Amino acid sequence: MTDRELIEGCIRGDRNCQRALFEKFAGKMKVVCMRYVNNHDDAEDVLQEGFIKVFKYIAKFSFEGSFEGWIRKIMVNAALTKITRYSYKEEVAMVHTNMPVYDYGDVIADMSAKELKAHINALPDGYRLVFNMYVIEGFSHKEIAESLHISEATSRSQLLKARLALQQKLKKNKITYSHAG
Amino acid sequence: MQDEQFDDLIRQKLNSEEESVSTGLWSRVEAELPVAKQGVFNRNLLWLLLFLLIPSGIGWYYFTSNQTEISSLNDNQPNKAEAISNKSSLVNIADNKSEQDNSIKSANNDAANNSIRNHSAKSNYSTVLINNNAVPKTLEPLRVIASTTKENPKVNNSEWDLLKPIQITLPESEISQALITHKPASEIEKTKKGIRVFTDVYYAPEFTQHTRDLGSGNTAYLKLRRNTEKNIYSHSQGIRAGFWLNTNFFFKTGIDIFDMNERLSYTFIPGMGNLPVGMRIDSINGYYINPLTNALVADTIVGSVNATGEIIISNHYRFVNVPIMFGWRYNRGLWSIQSSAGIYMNIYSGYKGKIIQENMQSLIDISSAATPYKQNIGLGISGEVIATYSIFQNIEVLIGPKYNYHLSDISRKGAPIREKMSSIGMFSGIRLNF
Repeated sequence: MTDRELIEGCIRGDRNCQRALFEKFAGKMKVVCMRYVNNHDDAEDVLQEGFIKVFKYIAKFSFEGSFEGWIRKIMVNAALTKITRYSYKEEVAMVHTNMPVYDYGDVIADMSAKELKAHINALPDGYRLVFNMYVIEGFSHKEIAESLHISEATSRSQLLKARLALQQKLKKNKITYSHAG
Repeated sequence: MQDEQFDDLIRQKLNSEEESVSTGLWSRVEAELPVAKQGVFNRNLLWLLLFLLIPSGIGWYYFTSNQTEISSLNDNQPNKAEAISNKSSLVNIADNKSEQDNSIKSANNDAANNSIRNHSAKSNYSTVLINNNAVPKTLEPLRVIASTTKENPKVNNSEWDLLKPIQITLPESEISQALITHKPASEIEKTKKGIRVFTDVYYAPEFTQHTRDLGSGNTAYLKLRRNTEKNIYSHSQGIRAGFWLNTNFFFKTGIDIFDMNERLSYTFIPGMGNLPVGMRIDSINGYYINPLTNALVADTIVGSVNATGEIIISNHYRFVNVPIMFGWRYNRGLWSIQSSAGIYMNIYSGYKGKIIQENMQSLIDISSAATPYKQNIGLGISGEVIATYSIFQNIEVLIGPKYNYHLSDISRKGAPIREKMSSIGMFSGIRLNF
């Protein structure tokens, strides 16, 4: 069954289609949720809330662009609601902004997804949120700004710093790994 | 390394991941969902019946009611002839001119009544046609749905806020671009390769414009043809197959069978070779009127003819066409609007019935070799705007206007008059998606 057929079934309230859609996307979306709430129980709470909203608003999906992208954004917003108590603080941690050009292709290729996630999760919260939303989920700076109630300029600068901070970690990891090897 | 390349590496590494979810999670989600709709089948079936049966029923009603009218008129011919014949003898024995006139009026009473009934029948037909034109109003609910999708004031604010950044704050083009940019490569590839096929089965009552222009014939003949031939009912039906070229663009082709029924109505006067056929009866006074001059010729006829009657012939035209169309779709929930345009090729043209010959004295069988119509009418252009509504998983109902225009004449080169055809129809049908 194609995504379109699933979506149309869900709009009609067809329980089988709703279940099929849930089973198709739940695994991927849990990964998304985990990036923001960082433990399985909270991630599943977010997943539950997210899917309820998906089914509630699915008739508003306009079939333009990726349906997975649409669900992903609902999940991120659901996760942000979960951590609403958290108010975004601009990170001021110092990073070296004049790092030499370095090829991270091999570093990332040699690294498992779990290790990479660990490095990202180790970033300060403000960096991690903006980095995840922009790089992995595909939000624009405007969307990030509105979701986190910050300015677009802040979003851009936080992303830049997050990227540099992660690159520093990866480079350090590479050196450590090489020395150990 | 560029930032974009770095981001891509991270995205590729992490986006293919999945986590297992606990087995009870679906039950928890399901418990929060509204109860599955009951009676969906019956409601959807009602939609289907409305979309299909109403236009079909109206079309069938007109077609069959007209056939009845024709046959009843034909059945009356002997009685009318007898009545007029009897009364002609009364006229002959009257010496006084005023008495003669009164007798004529009285004598033609039956014929006049018949004629009035004919006109009454025509009026009913026109009225229902006007009602039939109100069908496009069925598009109105679509506009309502479209408007509510912009911003629904009834939606709880806190719930809506979660969607707000996605739905409202960015222009659609930007959102689409952003989503496409970050769409996993495998999914993009799947969308590109995935060919979805659909089949449409439809019926459309049509308003046909059968125009006649002066060809090699004379203006009197053209006028006679225009006066005596009336389009009474047209419809088309067919089946189409189509496939999606991408998410929004599609191609479709199939078979379209277009039927047009016309009525040829004139007064036949045996033994009056010097008068043109096409005499009609004035419904008020019962006089005969020459259709070419609109002059009353009552005295002449009554004094000379011993039998007369109105002849009605039903002509049938059938064209089988193969449309080749490209279209575009705009989606909104279960609704979509699809516009398409293209050409169609005629593969069969068939004619049944008779028309008045150029000598205006006799009839010619249009199915014979001497027909003035082409055996293949060639190419035409076609356009449609269809609203679709998904009623089941793979089934949509379709409704909307369609327009066909024949590029060339349907009459042969050298025919006494040139005839062209175009039609506007109200498309209704179902689509099966595969």
